[in-house]
Amino acid sequence: MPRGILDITLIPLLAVVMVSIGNAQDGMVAINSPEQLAVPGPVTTRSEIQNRLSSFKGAIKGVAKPLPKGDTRKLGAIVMLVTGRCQWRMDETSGWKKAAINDSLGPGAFIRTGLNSTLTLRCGLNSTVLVDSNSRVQLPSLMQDGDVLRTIVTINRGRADIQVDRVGLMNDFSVLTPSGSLAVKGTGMGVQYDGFTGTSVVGARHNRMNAIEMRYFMNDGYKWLMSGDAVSTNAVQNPATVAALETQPAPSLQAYEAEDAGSFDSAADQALAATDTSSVTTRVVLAQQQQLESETIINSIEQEVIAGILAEQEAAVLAAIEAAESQLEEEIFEEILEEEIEEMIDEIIEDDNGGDNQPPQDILNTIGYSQYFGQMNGPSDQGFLAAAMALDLIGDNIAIGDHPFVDRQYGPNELFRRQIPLYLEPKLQLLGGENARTQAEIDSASFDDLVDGAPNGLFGFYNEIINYGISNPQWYEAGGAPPTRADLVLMVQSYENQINAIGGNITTEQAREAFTYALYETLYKTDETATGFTEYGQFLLNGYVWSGFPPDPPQNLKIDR
Amino acid sequence: MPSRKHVLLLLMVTVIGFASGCTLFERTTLDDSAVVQFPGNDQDFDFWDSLAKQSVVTNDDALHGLLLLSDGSDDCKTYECRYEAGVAKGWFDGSWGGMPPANESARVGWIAVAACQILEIKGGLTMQLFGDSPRYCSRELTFMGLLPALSENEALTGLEFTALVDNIEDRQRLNQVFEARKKLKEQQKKAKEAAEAKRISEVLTPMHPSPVEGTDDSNEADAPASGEGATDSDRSTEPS
Repeated sequence: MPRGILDITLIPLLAVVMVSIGNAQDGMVAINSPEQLAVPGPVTTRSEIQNRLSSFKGAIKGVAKPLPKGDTRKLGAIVMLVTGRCQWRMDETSGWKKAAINDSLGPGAFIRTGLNSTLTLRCGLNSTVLVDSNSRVQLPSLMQDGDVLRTIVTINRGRADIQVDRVGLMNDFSVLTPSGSLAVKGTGMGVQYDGFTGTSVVGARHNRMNAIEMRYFMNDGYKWLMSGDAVSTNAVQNPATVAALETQPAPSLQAYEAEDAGSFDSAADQALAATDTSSVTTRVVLAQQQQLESETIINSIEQEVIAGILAEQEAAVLAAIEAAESQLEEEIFEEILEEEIEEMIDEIIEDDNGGDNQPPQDILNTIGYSQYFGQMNGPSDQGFLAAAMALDLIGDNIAIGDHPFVDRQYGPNELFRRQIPLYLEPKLQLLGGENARTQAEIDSASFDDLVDGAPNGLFGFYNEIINYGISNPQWYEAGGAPPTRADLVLMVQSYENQINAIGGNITTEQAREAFTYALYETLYKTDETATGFTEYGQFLLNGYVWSGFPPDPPQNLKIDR
Repeated sequence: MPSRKHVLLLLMVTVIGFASGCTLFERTTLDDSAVVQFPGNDQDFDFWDSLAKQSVVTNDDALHGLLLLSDGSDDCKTYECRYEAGVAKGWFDGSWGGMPPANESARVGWIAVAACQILEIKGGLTMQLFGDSPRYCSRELTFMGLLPALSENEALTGLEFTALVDNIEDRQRLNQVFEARKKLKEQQKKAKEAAEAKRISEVLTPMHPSPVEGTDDSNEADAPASGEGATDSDRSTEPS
């Protein structure tokens, strides 16, 4: 459907051009021209509306009381007007809901409007937000913090007009867009975010928002009449407003009033919350009187109750003093008894919770250890492994159990003990443990000294194992108590405590595997076909561990007799 | 002056380029665009949300969005249907090459023509003479502040297209205000003419029982109830 007129002759063409130019000039109307202000609404109605609005905002000022410092309360937002298709949801996980007048939104709510649609919100106590068409807006924060009303509006796309009223509290109103943030201290502004200009700030449509506020607060269709009795009070100084308010019908049931009313501390505050301003003053006075009377009654009741309590306490104290002397001995005895019982209970609790003598943790089941210790034949083998570890590391001039010393050599090949460091330290160093070597050379051709190569930590571990074995001589005495699994746990825990001192980039699991590797190569094999003590391990146990055997050797222990 | 050798080389490169399907003039395509995901009328919220995240607007997306804007709904199920609807509305006036591919990035030119049609923009002398064309509609929208300075062959991102739709919507509202103001002025003019005609008729009718309003100021000062509520019958009892 081409609109061009090229095929017409020149004269009609020029005529059309002239006409079009004329039409275009007629269509231009200056926005601030006097014609724009022609035929305003009836003066009385407009003044009534203004009075009503100012009265409403005066009531809001009364409602907005500061909270004690540090106290906060969440505020809500009420939908005042919806045109077109608008939706909202409480959070990102909720489903979208069609917006309707008096819907109550909380902090975090999302709003979206369709084409040719707008949504107007009253946010908290101090602001009105007009969400324009095809916009996406969020209300991340809506709260009163002490004497500050904190509100954050996020405009992800589109435009929102914001009007912030001064209600006697500090306004902390922020507007966030994907490309910036703004603060509104008073009055208002329009904020727009789009793909062409990014964030832009324009003038707010105050008239439109005021009209929407008025429509909402007036309950559509309501009209009032002016009374002849002019009254001026401190609360409402304008006599015209008072007169108008006197003739109001039943109080309106605005949803946000009910919401605000729930968060007031006293009846007077609650009376102020109602924006039924026709009886605000009366309500406040009556509420204050009622509150005063209530407080008086409560005070008198409190005094009576306190007096009664004091009398009872006095009588009880006198009786107690009389009985005190006779019961003194009994009480002392009871106290002593209670202390003893408490001590016993504490001891029991301490024992239950695990004292210092208890294994801190069953470390054998942790990663790195469980693969090895889990394949051992049983707890008895684990206990004898602990005894064998001490025998491997102990010096050759130290008495242990029934033995004045432990021979440094063993077996038909006359090899030397201290096999665990021989396998442990090179393995640790191979895995990245920089401080793993305690001495330059370790081999089985000589009885190596345990060198304190601090801060490697292994020297401390060796000594702990040796001392633990020395402190349990019963393992190495004929008929003494045998070692248990708990002993092995403590020894392994001793190694665990020194892992961090090994240094380098070796991981905990690698260090554990190195330790089990050393045990595997020296004292105890965990192969599927031949799980049990090695020849060296059997030599140590046969020669020095007499606890529990003979006559009753540990089960699954393979001992060459 | 370029030598013959250079000219031949340039010609050869051009020929080879065309022969091998040179991609210099290909436009961006998007297969899973917003309208493909959300084609329904009741899915418009999701459509706009998805569109705003797209790197480019396809022809199908743009047609769907503009139909939603102009008609409030898009009852077409296919791109061909939307294209026919667009052609019927004159949105492709001045475009050549027939129906553009659905998943190809939409040119600013035909979108601008559609915007001019929706807003009924008369434009300048060239548009009055030659009708809507992609080039001059783009310039007109740029002049009106609805579109940044883009050529008619450029593409829009999803967010930019959304901004253009918002701008068109704002302009529609402004046009409505202008229209309402125009009607108001006409009403005022008619009311004024009617009042004048009535006054003239009353002046020319000596048998009228009441004096003509506003013709004798001296009577108003003496009238006890000469406010707005005073009726004609009240005035008739006052001494003249």
